Amino acid sequence: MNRALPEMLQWQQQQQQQSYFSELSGVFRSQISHLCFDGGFMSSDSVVTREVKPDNNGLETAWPEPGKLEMGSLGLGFEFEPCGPSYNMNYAISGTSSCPPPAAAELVTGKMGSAVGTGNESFKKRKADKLQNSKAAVEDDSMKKIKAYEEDGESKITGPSNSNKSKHKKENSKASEVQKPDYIHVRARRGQATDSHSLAERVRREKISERMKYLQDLVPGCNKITGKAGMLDEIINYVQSLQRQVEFLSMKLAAVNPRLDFNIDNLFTKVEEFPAVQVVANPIHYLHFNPAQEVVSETALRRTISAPVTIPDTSFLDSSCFAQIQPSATWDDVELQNLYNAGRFH
Amino acid sequence: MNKYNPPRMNPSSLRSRFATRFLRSLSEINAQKPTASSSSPTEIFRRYRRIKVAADKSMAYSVRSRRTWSRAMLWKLRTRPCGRRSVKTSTIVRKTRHEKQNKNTTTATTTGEDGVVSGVEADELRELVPGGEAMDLYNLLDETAHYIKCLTTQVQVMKKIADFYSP
Repeated sequence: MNRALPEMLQWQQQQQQQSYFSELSGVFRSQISHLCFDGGFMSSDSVVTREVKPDNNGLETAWPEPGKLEMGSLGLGFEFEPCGPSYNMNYAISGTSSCPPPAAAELVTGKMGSAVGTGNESFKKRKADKLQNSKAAVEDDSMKKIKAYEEDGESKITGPSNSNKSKHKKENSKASEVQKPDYIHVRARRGQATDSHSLAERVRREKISERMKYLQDLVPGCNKITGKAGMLDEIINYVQSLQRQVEFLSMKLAAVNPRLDFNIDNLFTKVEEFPAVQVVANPIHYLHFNPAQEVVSETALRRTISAPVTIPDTSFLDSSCFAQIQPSATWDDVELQNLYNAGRFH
Repeated sequence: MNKYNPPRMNPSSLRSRFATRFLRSLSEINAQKPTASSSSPTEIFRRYRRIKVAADKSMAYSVRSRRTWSRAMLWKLRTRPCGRRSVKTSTIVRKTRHEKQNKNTTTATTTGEDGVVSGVEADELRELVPGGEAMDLYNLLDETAHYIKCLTTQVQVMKKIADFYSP
């Protein structure tokens, strides 16, 4: 089993080599679509043979060079250490033959996934594979470059990823149907690593940046700031200012007449009737309760409290509520502020 | 996530749920002390504490336990008595923030620029959002977004109540 796997893969390599040869023997302008189809088919094929593999245990055919394979006509020699598992080669080749980079990424993830179940030997191989993965990625990259040069002859192709991908999808929809549900679709650009760890890292980073965009819409004044550290700082400031505003408002509510009898229903309808008001319009209004900045914060507070809210309806203020308000219940802001600070630091 | 879009009189919106709860607890607080020496500063400070706790609690209850931050806030309010500890923690947070801002100038240059957020700001945000200590960055940002929305609602409602009583 341990030996059968590389041999199967070498067999695939041989076939792919043949496809390369046939392609390079003069017809590659017209056969690019065919190549893409071929590459996609091979990728699905490799998965299938991986699953079938334990049945082919006794299959012994001697291939002459287990460690070294040459692709002379392409002018690229792939050198592997003899100790390393030679099916790493397959990653590079299948990655290039199904040329679009997303397909390459998918392929690797699919393979990593399918190799999980095969037990101990495959675990060792995967470990060795990780060591050589960067090498494979580099070779993958160079192969893609060659591919891009070939396709530059056809001027309609702008980037090798998009147009090829559409063709690829059109022509072997069956294979992609089989592979689709197994992976998260990640687009790997040229030169990016395609092992599963960096793919997961990329997915995570994309999710985080999407969340950051959402938060950017939520926090006022955050649109101008570029860079995540500055945005996070702005978010922190905003959350702190909101928390302090809550503290201040509850302070104010505590300082208002304690014996005031609440008429809940009345007040509730009034609260509901008010139009939604943007709370803090500017980052200038942020509240900083450092003792050094007390004066600034007080003016800022006054502005935030008094400015944006306009009372639309003053008719309800007349009768029932004012009858119960004590004269001692009116606190001005300075007194409140002193009390607030005294409460904070004592 | 999308539930904060307050239509005017929707009784199930977060805004009206918070308003009803908060007004109810506020009236309870006010009903409890009819004739105490209610204008002394210590008394008012105690009332302030209670109102603050009531605001937090009614906010967390109207979110219910769907969110991590509301669960954490309810747990904190349940376990700690409404004493002066939150005052202490807020001062500590402010101190550490100033300390960290000095560090920040050095670390922000060393950490990578392609989307890697330096951990200092994330830790600050973790201290601010309740229950954010054990979250990874994605969940932390998610909770922060919801928390900001709820805080905005809370501030709006409380501001209107305050304006109602002291015009």
